[in-house]
Amino acid sequence: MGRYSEMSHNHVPNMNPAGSGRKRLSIPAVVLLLSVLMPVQAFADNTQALLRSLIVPGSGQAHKGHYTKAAVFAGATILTGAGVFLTRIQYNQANDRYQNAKRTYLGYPDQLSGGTVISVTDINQTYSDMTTAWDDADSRYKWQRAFMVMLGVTYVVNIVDVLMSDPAPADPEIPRVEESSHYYFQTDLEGVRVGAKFGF
Amino acid sequence: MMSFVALLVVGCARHDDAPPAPLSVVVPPTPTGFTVATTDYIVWDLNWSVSNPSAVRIYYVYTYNVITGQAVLADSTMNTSEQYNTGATPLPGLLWGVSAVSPDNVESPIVQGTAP
Repeated sequence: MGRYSEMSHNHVPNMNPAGSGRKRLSIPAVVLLLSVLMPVQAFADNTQALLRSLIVPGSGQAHKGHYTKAAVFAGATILTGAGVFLTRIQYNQANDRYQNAKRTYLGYPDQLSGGTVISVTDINQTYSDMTTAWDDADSRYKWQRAFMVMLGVTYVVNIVDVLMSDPAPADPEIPRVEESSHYYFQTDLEGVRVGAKFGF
Repeated sequence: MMSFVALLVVGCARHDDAPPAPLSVVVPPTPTGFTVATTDYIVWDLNWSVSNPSAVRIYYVYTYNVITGQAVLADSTMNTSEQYNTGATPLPGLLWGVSAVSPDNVESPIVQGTAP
């Protein structure tokens, strides 16, 4: 009896509907697997957000669901970038004016020694134009540097922020209109009635 | 994006650290006491003086275009007086100017005058 029962116990068919080849995971193994997979997933999400922010500041924050911060970083980048661009254009214009005036001014000695009569009024006016253009160029150059620093700071903070911040929690689910909602069209002796019914 | 900005900034020339120093030109004395006299607005007597005649190589005499106001060189002289005939047509209200030119070819500001 004891022998039979031992044998029958050994040959009891596997009643698990999932199949005989599948191994069960123990709880510690599941915890271990999750502890490995979750950082990997977080790293993948962070990498994607980082790449987005490297290319377009603020897009990594948007990827993580921080839309306000994304708008702030994108706006700051656009503003400071536009500042760099516009001050560069203004600088180039001022520098061109300076270079032209400088070329004219430094050409005066050769013209005078060559016999050309030049009014001292023109000489003084050219000197004034040259120094004014240099002041403008110098001022635009400093503004451009300031905008570049601001742009760089915005960019670096954007990268640090996207690395440090966690994904935003999901929004609560919005109630949906169920299938019981319907429109109706009704006529009677008093007239026509059109309406809609909604069920939540 | 940052490399685009860097290219934008680095790719352009930078201005000088400071503008050039002023030229050391010897400015001639400006004529003073410029008077214009005429009786018929055809023949004009112009007179002026300068503080240091030895610093002047020549004097330029100008008339002014009544429409554009532009100074037009009429004559040059080495004296501090000039008699000028403008032609058959009287030109009342004609504006005159005179300047001094140094030996280094630097011209003084133009001094204006008209007949009373």
